[in-house]
Amino acid sequence: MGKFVSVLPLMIVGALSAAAPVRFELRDTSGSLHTSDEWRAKKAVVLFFTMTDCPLANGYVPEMNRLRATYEPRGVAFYAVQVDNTVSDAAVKKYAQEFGYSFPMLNDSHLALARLTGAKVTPEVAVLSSSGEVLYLGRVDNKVEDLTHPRYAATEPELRNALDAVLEGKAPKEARTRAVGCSINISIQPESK
Amino acid sequence: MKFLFLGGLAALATTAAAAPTFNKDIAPILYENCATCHRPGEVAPFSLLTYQDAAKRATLIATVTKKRYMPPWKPEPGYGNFDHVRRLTDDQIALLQQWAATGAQEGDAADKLTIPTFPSGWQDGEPDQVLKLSAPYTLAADGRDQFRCFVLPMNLAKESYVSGAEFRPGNPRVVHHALIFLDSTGTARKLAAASGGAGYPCFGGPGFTGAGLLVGWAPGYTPLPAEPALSQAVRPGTDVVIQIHYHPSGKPEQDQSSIGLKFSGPPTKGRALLLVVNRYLDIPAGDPHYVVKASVTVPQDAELWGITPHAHYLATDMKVNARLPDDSVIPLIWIKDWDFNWQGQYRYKQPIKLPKGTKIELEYVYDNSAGNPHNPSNPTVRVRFGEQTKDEMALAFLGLVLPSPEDVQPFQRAVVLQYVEDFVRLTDNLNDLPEEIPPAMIPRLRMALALFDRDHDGKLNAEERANLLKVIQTMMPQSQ
Repeated sequence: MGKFVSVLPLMIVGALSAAAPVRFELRDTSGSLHTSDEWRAKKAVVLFFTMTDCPLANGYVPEMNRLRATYEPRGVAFYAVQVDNTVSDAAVKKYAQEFGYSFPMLNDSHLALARLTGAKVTPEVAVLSSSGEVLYLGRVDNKVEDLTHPRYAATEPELRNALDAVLEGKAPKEARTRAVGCSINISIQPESK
Repeated sequence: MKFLFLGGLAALATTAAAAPTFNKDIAPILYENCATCHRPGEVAPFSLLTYQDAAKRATLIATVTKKRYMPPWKPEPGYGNFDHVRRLTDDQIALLQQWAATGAQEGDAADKLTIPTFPSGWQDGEPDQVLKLSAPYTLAADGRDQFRCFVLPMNLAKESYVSGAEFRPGNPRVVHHALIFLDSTGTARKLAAASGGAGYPCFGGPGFTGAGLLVGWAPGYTPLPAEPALSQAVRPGTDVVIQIHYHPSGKPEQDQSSIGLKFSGPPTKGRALLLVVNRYLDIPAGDPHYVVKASVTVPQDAELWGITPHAHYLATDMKVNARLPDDSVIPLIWIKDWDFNWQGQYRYKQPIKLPKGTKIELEYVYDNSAGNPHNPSNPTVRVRFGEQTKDEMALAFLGLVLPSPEDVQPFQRAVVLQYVEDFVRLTDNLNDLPEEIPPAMIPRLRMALALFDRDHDGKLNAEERANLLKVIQTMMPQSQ
């Protein structure tokens, strides 16, 4: 598994029972350990599902960096979640540096976070509560609602809308939007042990 | 024969039960239709050469092929018999769906194909002259797509003949498509200097008149072999102008694309670029179905080699037909679902014979409603012809071959006359002469217009227009 620590099995248990908080323990590409403890003090957590060679996901990195700059000071934690387990740790690290991610990238080798949230493609984002409840799952904005007919420019910043609602203590108006992008091939990747 | 019949059924049952495998069913489809771009170092974001490459994207492959997003091929089958068609059959698409749904199996090692090899470097062999952007162009990590023209001086000592041209993207991650022009007017140089360097922003066109389109490039494009019989005369002082459409990748990128040229002797056949255009389109804000038509008559027998339809973001449906003198119609192309991002140059398998008097008829449909996701204007606005992103265009370039180089000048003159007729028929603004009319003709044309403008109000009224049209028509070559 290289230097990445896999998600603890407890995390999945946590996801199944709404009451129990999600347990979380993963290393990022620079080797720092991230645990569920660091979520507790946050108002919300954003997971950005990505992979090294999905052009649609890569195109959103600058926007995600802007979102982090806006919302991190307001108590939101940001993580990129890399979901292609056929790519070496070194390649993931190089990729994170090249694209200038300003927030930690976790290698989700067993797709535990993808399964927890139900993310199916990259780019897809999940907004979680501090206890790991999925408050929003879907696209960053509506630029690509249909792969064959992308909008000239997005007209709805859906992730921003969701974060604004959550920070006001409300439920997002749209809790789920349909993300379009590179499929996360859960069926042919190894199951979480 | 009962026995045989049963045998046939058994065979069918076996075929239906077996899940498709990469080695037997999928690799042949990918190698034939996808690998030109989807291999290491090429324009596609990932390779699809090995089982591992393809299996982890089985669902994605199934999705994008079903929607016919990939491979990118816009023309409808049955409307123009094109070379290098990249279109999957319904059966191939069904196989890809099945493969993803049944767990993307690798299959029997005995069925495994050898991974195809592709020629590296210049596809048509070493060029005689290679021109490269003078410095790498830096593209920001995100934001709008960029359209930039780069001026590359050819530094010719004497008149030369270009017989072949091949574009090579420097950074395939960001080069989305390219059009290569020749500029003998020095305009592009001035535009570049005014922009403070070797390039300038240019969305709709290179910004100079009489631009000869040399060649285009889009992902998957197979370069034409050099064609000395159709070489193009190029004067000293001519520049190559490369218009590149860049698509940001998410990180800052640099590109230094290049073009390889081949030279030969003078041409033995004539080469003419026929432009079918309507520059008088005027699309009301919010109109979901605006039809634009244009036509040009081929003034002498010609062969049609290829076609390049062009519009901006609002076009949805594009049709070009050839109406022969006997009133029969040859469909030249139909794009049902135009996508600005996947515009191509299409070459016919066999040149199409167009007898003198053939009318090329263009009919494009535009959706200027808010319901068109491609609409660059929000809220919607009235749209007219122009080179900017929010303007529209309605044109098709037809690559024609004439029996002899001597045919080109009279051919072009006869076509220009038709543009003049269209101009007189469709507009009354004498100050808005279209750029298809060569600059040298403009003073005389102005004079003629002034002459027919009897009441000297700067406009042609119905009678003045009719009189001028009569004169122009007597100057047109007779089609029958």
